[in-house]
Parts: sequence; structure tokens; C-alpha cells
Amino acid sequence: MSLSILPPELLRHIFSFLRPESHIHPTFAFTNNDLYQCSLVCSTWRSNAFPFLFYHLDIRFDNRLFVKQLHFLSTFSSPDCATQAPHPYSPHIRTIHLNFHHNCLQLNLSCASSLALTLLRPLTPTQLVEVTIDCDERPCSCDASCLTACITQLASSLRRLQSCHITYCSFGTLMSVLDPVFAALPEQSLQEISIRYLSRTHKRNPPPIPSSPDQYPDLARLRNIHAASFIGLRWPPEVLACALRVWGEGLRDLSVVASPGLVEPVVLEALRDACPSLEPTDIDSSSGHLTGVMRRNRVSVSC
Amino acid sequence: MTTKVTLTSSDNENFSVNKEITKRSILIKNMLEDVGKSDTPIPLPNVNSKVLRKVIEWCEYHCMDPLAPTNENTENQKQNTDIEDWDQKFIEVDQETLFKIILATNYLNIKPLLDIGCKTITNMIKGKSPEEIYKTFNIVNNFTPKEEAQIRKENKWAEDQ
Repeated sequence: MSLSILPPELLRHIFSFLRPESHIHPTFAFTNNDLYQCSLVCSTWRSNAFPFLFYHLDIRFDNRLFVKQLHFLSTFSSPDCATQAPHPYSPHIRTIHLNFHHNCLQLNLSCASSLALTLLRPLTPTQLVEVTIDCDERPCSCDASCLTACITQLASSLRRLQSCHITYCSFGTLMSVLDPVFAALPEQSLQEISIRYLSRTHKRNPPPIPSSPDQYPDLARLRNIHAASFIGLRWPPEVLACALRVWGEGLRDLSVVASPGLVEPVVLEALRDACPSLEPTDIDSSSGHLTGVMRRNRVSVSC
Repeated sequence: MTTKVTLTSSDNENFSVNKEITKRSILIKNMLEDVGKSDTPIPLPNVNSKVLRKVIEWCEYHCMDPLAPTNENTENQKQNTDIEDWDQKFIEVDQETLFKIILATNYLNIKPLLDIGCKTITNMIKGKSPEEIYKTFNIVNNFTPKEEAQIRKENKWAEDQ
């Protein structure tokens, strides 16, 4: 009796338990990756392991093995093949983590980002459900034009995106580099957004940021946000207040941390008027904390 | 006071089982709801008596467990392969029986026991090389020449460090 008597859906169920530990992730060691080992067993196992193996794609320029990983992935869709590789990986990707941090001495950014671009190109407009982007702000003389191309390419695959997580270190770059991403966030399908400002270099003297709400990402354009999180932002409160009035009753989870500018009467007012399902707690305007949790009585009423 | 239901295995053995216990199987639960009151035995042509006895044993032990929610989105939940002690002992069977329990619980739609069976196989896969997996599960390598060529290309980049 052989395991082959199990139908493919049961094989996938078995592989689903391998998933959390077996992504193509930064410490990717192929011989220790159980899902990858499964993909080398036989044709049936290979085609059923791939959706799990390639569910999440890490494009992390700070990873020591990054270029190797890119080369590995490019074997699945190498342009010198007359036809596609038998099992292309790209249709299986649902979540992407893009991290720009890099060590200029160890990594040729131009070369690596052009490889990354070839990985992003086959993505369809609707396949991604979650994207995480970490910007890098340290000034360096690397040629970042391909990186910009990566962002533009990524932005074209966000039509069904559900979650977006962004970390930035300077407001100027946030808006200039990520503008295509903000513009492409889908109004209806996006349900979760988190934006975090990470101050590494400007702890003492943060550079000035624009005071007009027009110059910020238009969060109120998104209609169906269920969960929002803002960390370390010094944005004008109107940006959030406007968004809260649009998100309204659908908003079930709000977290504002270390963002003094955002915890203002105008935001609390919007929360009270437009978001009846949220109970504001831990309000502290001096440290900029505000948490909104689902009201319990509403939950029990609906049960 | 408890109502009994008769289940008939593929080899025509009858099992008289507490009705509440048979409802662990979503297939049987739905059947009972469709049929209403009836004393006719339920035929299970895909399950033999040896496997059915095992499955009933599991359902009886777990009769007090809350019924698992059916609509949960398990895709995103962190899945782990831990198995409780009693279940671990219960599932220590030869491979053929293990495969048959998995097939039977898939057919009967008993998700928690299906998970235990599949996790057991997952745990057997962990840490094994493809060659060890062939041997363990008696699988035939059926790669096409094209796939073989692709795997050789991957190998160039896939060895550690």
C-alpha cells in the first residue's frame, strides 16, 4: 500500500501542516525545508507542494542569501527556456514582503533589483492579498532606478489586495517612492492597513513634514477598512479623522501608538460619531496612544 | 433513552452506535437530518469493519468535545502538528490502516480525526530527504525528463550556503 492512494486534496491537507515553517524565507536553507524536499519526491507531490512553498515571497535586500534565492527562483521561469518551466511558481504567490534595507558593500543593488523585477513581472493584477513594504532611507550612492521599477511593477498587482503594511523612515521618500502603491490600493477590497514611521537617523531633529492634509496618502479613499494601525506618525489629525468617517461601522480594530498628532479632539469626535462598533480605550494625547476595540455589548446583541 | 443508529461497513458488519456519537460525522449527521426518523441501517460502502471500529472508538472517546466550527478560515490560522497523547496512541497503527482511516474520515467528514491522521503523516515527512520519503511511503518517482532538468537547475542554487 502506498501513500499514492490518497487523492491530491488530502496530500495538500498534509502539506498545509508544513506551511508555517517552510516558506521561502530569509533563513531559507533548501535542504532543511520540508516542503521543498516534498517537491522533489514525485510529479504529483511537486505540483501539490508548490502552492504552499510559494505562497509567501520574501524580497529582502538585507538578506545575505538574497541573490542566491533570486537565482534559485529565476530557474522556474528562465527566459532562455523556449517554454515555461513545468511548474512555474509565480501563480501561487499571495503575499509579498519587500524590504529595501541593504548593505551597499555586500549587495549590488542595481543587479539584485533587476532580478527582483523579473520575479515580480509575471504576477497578475489580482493575485496578491497581502503586501508588506519596508523602506530604507539611509543615503547611499547605489543605483535605485530598478528599485523604483519594482515598486511600480508591484503596484500593478494590488487590485485584490486585502492587507497592506508599510514602514518608512522619511516622509519625503514615503510619498515619492510609494506613491504608485498608495494610488493602487484597491478601494473596496483592502481591509487592513498599517503604517509605521521608524526613526533611525532623525531621533533628535525630525525633518519637517507638510502641514496640509492634501499632501498625505488619501486614506479616506479606502471604503472597507476593518483594521488600522498607525505607529510613530506625526501626521495632521484631519487625515485620520476623514478616514474614520468613511470607515465608519466597519472598523473593528484601531491602534494608534506614539503618534501624538493623531490623538486630537477631531479624531475622537470622528470616532464617536462614525464608528459606533469601536470602544475607544487607553486614550493618551501626550504620548499619542489610542486603542479602539470592538464593543462587547454589540457583539452579544448580534449573537 | 439514547437512540441508536446502525451503521453497515463495506464488509457487511453492523455497528449499533449512539446517535449523538454518529453525529461527529458531518456526512451521517446530514443523512440523519435528511431522512428523519428511520431504523434502516446506514450503509458505508467506503469503510471496512476494521477501520469503522477504529473510527467509532475515536468518536466515543471524543463524544464530549465541542463540535468544531465548520466555517472557520483555517488558511490563515497558525497550524501546528501537535497531537494529544490519547490521539497519538490511538493513531499508532500500520501505514495501511492509517491511510484507510484518513480516507474514511475524509468520506465521513470528521475533520478533527482527519487532521490527526494527516498531521501524523506530516510528522513522518518532517526532516526526511526525498529518498527517505520514497522508501517510507512506497512512492514511485514519476518525474518527466523536463522536470528532472528543472530540478538539476534548481540544485545549482539549492545547496546550503
